[in-house]
Amino acid sequence: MLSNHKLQVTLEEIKEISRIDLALFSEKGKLQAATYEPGEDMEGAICHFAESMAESQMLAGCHFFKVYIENELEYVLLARAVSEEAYMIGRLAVCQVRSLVCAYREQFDRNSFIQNVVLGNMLVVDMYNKAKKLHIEAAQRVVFVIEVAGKKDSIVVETVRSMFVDSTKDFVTEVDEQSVVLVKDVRDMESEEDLAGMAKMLVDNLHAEAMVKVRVGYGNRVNLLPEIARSYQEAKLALEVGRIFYIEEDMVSYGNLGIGRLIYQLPASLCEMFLKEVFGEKIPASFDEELMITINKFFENNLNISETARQLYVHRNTLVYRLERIEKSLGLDVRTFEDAMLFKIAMMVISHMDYQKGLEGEKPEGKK
Amino acid sequence: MASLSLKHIGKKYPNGFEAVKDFNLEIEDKEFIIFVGPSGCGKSTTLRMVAGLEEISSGELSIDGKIVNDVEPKDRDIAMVFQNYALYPHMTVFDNMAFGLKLRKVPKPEIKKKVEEAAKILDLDKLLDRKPKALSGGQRQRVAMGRAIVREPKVFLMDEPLSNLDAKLRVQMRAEIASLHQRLGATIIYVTHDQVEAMTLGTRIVVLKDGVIQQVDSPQKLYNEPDNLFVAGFIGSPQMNFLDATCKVEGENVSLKFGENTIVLPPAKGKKLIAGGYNGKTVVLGIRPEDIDDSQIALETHKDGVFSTKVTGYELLGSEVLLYYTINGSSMTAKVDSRTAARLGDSIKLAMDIEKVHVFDKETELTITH
Repeated sequence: MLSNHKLQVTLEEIKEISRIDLALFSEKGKLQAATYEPGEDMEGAICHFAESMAESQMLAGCHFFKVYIENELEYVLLARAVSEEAYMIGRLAVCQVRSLVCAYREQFDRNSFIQNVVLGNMLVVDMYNKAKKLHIEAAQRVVFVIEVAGKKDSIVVETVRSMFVDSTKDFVTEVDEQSVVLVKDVRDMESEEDLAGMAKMLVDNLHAEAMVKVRVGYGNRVNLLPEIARSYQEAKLALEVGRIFYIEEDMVSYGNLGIGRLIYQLPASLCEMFLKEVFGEKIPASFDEELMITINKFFENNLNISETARQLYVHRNTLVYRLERIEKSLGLDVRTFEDAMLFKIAMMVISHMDYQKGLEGEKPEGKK
Repeated sequence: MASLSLKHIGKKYPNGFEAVKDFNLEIEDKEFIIFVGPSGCGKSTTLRMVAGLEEISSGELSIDGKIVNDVEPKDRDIAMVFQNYALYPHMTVFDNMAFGLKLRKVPKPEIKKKVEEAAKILDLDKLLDRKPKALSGGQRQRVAMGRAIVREPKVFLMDEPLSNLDAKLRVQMRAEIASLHQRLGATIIYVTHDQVEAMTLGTRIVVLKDGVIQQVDSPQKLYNEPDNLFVAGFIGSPQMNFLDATCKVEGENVSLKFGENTIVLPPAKGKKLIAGGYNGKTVVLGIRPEDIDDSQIALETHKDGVFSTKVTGYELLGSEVLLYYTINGSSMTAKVDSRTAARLGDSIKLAMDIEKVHVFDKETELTITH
């Protein structure tokens, strides 16, 4: 329901312009909002008027008006004066309240509709009928899930809503306690950089405005309404896989999870077997910091020694020496594609296993 | 405004990656501190730890003497400006600036006062009724700043706020941020990967690499007296030239030999090499392109620093020319006057200003001469 506070603000604004006092009652005579203190004996008069055939009536120094929403009597509005002007203002106020309630209902409907679409809780046929009724057109969309660290407060949702409030094509909703969901029309965002830019903008704005740590995951583009649920699941998975392999990243795209998505689905036994094949019995518990920075930079630069050396601000020979040291200790020459790939996958498998162990450690005894 | 103290701050992720290591820094009230370094050096992570958006794994962070490690970001009395700001399209400039305060239920008269004050500082007072669409790029950036200013924070944190702007606007906004710092008398921590931005804005600069502070100093000192090879190479554009040279001590004279060329170091620098026992050892000689010249005056003034080479590249920048050449296998650059007669393929003589020569230990990469 539309809050009484919003109705109160509306009546006060009309009074500020017209200087006519207004009061709004439910059809049962219960006061909802007023710019003055109506007498306590109004309930009877309101109920009597509500039951009458009249659309408006002058009674006890006030103009009475009926407010119908979708052909149902919802409110009775009083304009406290008997002048022609008061009658006119009363009618305008009725219009305003009716539009406000209708807009709110439609918005509420759209919100609950999109929640059901995101969660895949609707039959396809119902989905299309309802979408038609709510004027939601088919479009290419992407679901962004904004995960809030710690307690989510209303500021986060308000901030995201405010960013997209003037677009009728985008939807901001909540389906759990930890996140905010943005279903974004991406017809004007053709490249993947545009999507990444959108995710970054969400992160930066929430950090600056709401001052909470957030991570954003987003799914693939979808064209049909029933596919929105898939994009949502992908966004959630992106966040989950990102927690394991891209922990320093604020935004994770399902489309860029790459091999991480595959490793995430591997059973522990297979992971252990793979690590034994790569490292033998001596699976390294940890790696030298400098060594890891060197290898990661080397991989980022597609095994290009000169470029890696430049970016690490070390001499080329220093880098070659470090890479040779790695070969000696691990038996993998990461300068070759084959060994580089093995090492990269092995590192990701180790991260995955560590994460799974951590999760098991968090589970209560009984659930193991 | 406020002072900050970062003591032994560290950030280690669950996967073992250490983004920031033993970070120690005291920031004075009203200072404009710059964190600069290549991508992945830990500068943004450190800023986010100060903001409270990243958990501090070890160490102690204090603002105005109060430890804030476990204080929520919104309670730290800070304001942030990021690269990817977005203004609310349906709101006027006034409402955009007031939005954060409204969410925090600040009374209306107070919001009005704060927004009007901030708008005046930012020269936005005539644009308060406009929507973002009707603003230029620079004006939008100022509104984003305004959203931070209205909070009247103790500390401003800026994470590459100008990175999304084109080159011309960046220069303009750089000047505006500098003057804003003066007007607000604010404590600002500013993150950038752009050393020109760092040099022009900061009262002190923190150079970071691999999560470790390399040097904290004034822009002038960083440029003139870099502590190590990394800082020497990172600060200054074009980058400082480096070449391996052999140190030779003859009495009180110290010379550096590279290929067929030898330069004699000034006595003050020479003494430091003698004291360090570098005779016969290989060291790294560093010289900035702007400290190498081919003019007749330079060749006569810096006789001890003259060497011969062949021009392999010529780039006219307008008032200056960049000459590229190779010495002993190392690629080098000289920034000379545009009236130079040197052209591609010419054999020329160049002179290093030996007072400006830097010498570094080859193993530790630390400076020997400062």
